[in-house]
Formats: sequence, structure tokens, C-alpha cells
Amino acid sequence: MDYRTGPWCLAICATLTACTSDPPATWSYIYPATIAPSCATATCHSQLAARAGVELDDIDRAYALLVEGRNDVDGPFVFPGDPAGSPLVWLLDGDERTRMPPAAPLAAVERDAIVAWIVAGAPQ
Amino acid sequence: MIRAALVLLALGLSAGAATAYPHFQFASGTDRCVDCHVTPSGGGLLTEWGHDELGDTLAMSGDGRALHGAPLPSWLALGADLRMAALVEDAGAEGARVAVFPMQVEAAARVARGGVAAAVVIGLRAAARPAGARTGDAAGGFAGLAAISREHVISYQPDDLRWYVRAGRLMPAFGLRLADHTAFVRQRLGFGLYEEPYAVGAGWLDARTEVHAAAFVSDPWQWPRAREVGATALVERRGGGRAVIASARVSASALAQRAVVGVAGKWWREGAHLLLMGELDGGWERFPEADAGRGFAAAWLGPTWSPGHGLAVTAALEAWLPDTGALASHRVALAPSVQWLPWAHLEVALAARLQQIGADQTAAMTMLQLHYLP
Repeated sequence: MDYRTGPWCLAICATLTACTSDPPATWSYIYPATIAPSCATATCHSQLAARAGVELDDIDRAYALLVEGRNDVDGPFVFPGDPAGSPLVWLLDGDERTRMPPAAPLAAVERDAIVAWIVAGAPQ
Repeated sequence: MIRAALVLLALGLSAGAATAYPHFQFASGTDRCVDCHVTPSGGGLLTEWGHDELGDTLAMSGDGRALHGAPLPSWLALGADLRMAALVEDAGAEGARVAVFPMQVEAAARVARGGVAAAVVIGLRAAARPAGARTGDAAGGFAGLAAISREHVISYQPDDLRWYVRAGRLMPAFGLRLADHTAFVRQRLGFGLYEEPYAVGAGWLDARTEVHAAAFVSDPWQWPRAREVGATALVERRGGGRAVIASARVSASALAQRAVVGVAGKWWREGAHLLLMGELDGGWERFPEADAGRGFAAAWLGPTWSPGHGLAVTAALEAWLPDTGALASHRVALAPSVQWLPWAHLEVALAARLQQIGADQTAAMTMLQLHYLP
């Protein structure tokens, strides 16, 4: 590798590395990167539409609803450490219920980041 | 059964649609949005010329005059959009979901005097609040109907239409300004349905060039704690049946800072009755609380063939890459549609959307719309 090709090779390697990196499995990333644009749109789970009674358009209230449960009707959607037992994952997978988001499911990499966050204990 | 029907009604009324058709820009023999629409950047109520074009050029038959020619004073414009839809979509393990619902129930009014105008668009929308959301059970409670104004604007524009200023709730101009709010270049870039911000804007127009700019803040009632502020700019240059559009949007909220730039183009082939349209946008967003960021890109490309009065066939190819650092997050959609206007006040549209999401996910949707524009 000479001095002319070296920087280009490093740049290409850096780009390829970047193109295969997993998104951070943290709530502060998952919410603005996936939940807000895919779920909390004005016509779906916003304060305005509140489809299925679910409002996700505020990061703190969304966390409270998903992890702590809403009321005596709906319990939590997320059980920290237990993705297989979390209704949020069932909904994302369309597991014996309407898949969410309807007609536009999350990409596997986005869904897996949410699962990884739940596995990590769903920290806020 | 009744509850399920009410929920479908609620979901339908909250869907809505826009009513600008940018693929008619050159096919109708007009170059500028403002020739057919009262809004300088396009969409919404039609001008007298726009109504004439609807009847004479775009539809197969009928008189395009507003409200079927009802006499209105020159300072008043009224319009409405009533749209029924039948939808079949892939809902995962549950199989196909079928729904028939009123997709859009909207009325628009504009009063103008001496270049000053006030316009409002009011529609019905509703919220479904079923219990048991975790189970995916949609047949639950119903919160009722409500009127919502997605646009209310005060503007000034001199008689020569060379410039304008406006303020209110409106959709800032960006890119192709497609009617389909599910297009990635709209939905994913901050131009989703019912997400019109409050804005102050200005523009300048002549026969070949347009410039539109706006500063905005997201609706403080709809997004009380996730307020976003930003600005958009669009420059369009056209001539000879071609248009080149450059757009930019920057925004910031407590959760994200975004910048996106894009180029779009149109090329009308008169002899073939074919309009080629395309848009390519790219940007960067940063999530300060996560101390992370990512690049993203969106594209729309498609020809529209208008073989004769009343018929337009579009085959669009779309792409969305939300994270350039995770190529597996990509989406590609094929969106064919047929638009038929048998009468100046009636549109029948059949559209499909087939998506490939990442390497192993797919989704499909087909929709038939019946649209009445009195």
C-alpha cells in the first residue's frame, strides 16, 4: 500500500465497517430513530389520532406506557429482559395479531435493536 | 359489529389525502402550480383556470366549474374533497386485512380582496380508543368525530403573482410535492399527513423560475413536548417541458437535529404523452441525547403516461434508507397506479404498493379510491 492508495483503502474500509454496524440499542436512540418516525406519526399513535388508545409522541410518556403499562386495562408492552414475553415484540412480528406498523413493518435491523434494548433490561 | 364499523370509520377519517397532482404540471399545458392552484406552491383549491383545465383537458367529460357552476362572488372560493376507499393490505400472520372507509372528508374556503387572502381547510377526523391494544384487537371503543383544520393561512400576493408572503398552518414546499402521503420522500422527510407545521413563508415566481422559503415550528398543540423548529427552501427552474427542483430542509428539536437536501426533475415528452419524474434526497440527523447520528436517503422515480383525456398511469419506484450505516434497514417500493377521471368532478384511482423491507420482509397494499370534487 503506497501513500496514494493507502488513504483510499482506509476510507473504503471505514465506509464498509460503518455500513455493517448495528444501531445503538438504547432508548435515547431507538425512540427518535425508530419509534417516533414509524409509530408516532400524526395519523397513528400521536396525541391527535391515538389509535388503539396508544400515544407515543412524547419520549417520556412513550417509555412509561410501553414499559410501565398504561392503566388497569393494558399492562406493559415491554417486560425488561424478556423479549419473547413482551407484547411489543408480538405486535412488531404480527404474532397472531395485526402486525405493526400495518402495511409497513420495521426492517429486521430496527426490530432487532428494539429486542436488544429489551434484552438489556429496557433502560431509559 | 357496530363497534368495529365505527373504528374503521374512525381510522378512515383520520387517513385523508392531499389533492395536488404534480404529474399534470405539463400534461395540462400549464407550467406553474399557481396557474391551476390558488396556493403559489401548489395543492388545494383550484383557480378558475384550474377548474377549466379539469373539465377541458384532464377529465373525459363534464364541466369543471367549482360547485358545478354555483354562483359565487369573486372574492370567495369554496371546494371540497370526498374520498371513499377500499383497502386490502398484508397484515402479517393475521393475513389480508380488508377495509372500506371514507378516506377524506374535507372542505376548503378562501376569501380574497386586494391581494390579501385568508384560506382554511377543515376536515373530519377521529380517534379509535379500543381497549386491549396489546392484543392487536381493533374492535374496541370509539372516541367520536372531530373537525380539524390542517391548513389555515393568511397571505398577500399582488395581482401579477410575482411574489407572495404567507403565514399560518401550511405545508412548506419541498421536492416534487406528491399527493401520495405514503411516498417515502414525503412521509419520511417531515411532510407526513396532518403534520403541517405553523410557518411564515415567502416566494418569488416568474415564467421560468420559482423560489419558495419558509420558517416553521411544529404544531404546538399536536406535538406539545417534541417541538421542532426549522426552515425549508425550494428553487424550481423550468422550460421546454422540463423542470429542475432543488430543495433543502433543516430542523431541530430536543430529540433530533436534521438537515436534508434534494434534487428533483420532470421531463415531459409531448409526443409520447409521458412525464418522467424523479426525486433524490439525502441528509444527516443527529440524536443528541444518544450522542449518535446517521445519514439517510430517499428516492422516488417514475413515469406517468397520459394517453388521453381522463387517464393517467404511473409506475413509481421508491427507496428509503433510514440509516446509511445499516444497509439492511433499506426499503424499496414499487407503486403502480391508474387514475381515471371519467367526469370533471369524479376520480377513480387504483393504486398498489409492494415493499421489500431489508432482506427478508415484504408488505403489500392495494387501494381503490372514489374521489368526488364538487
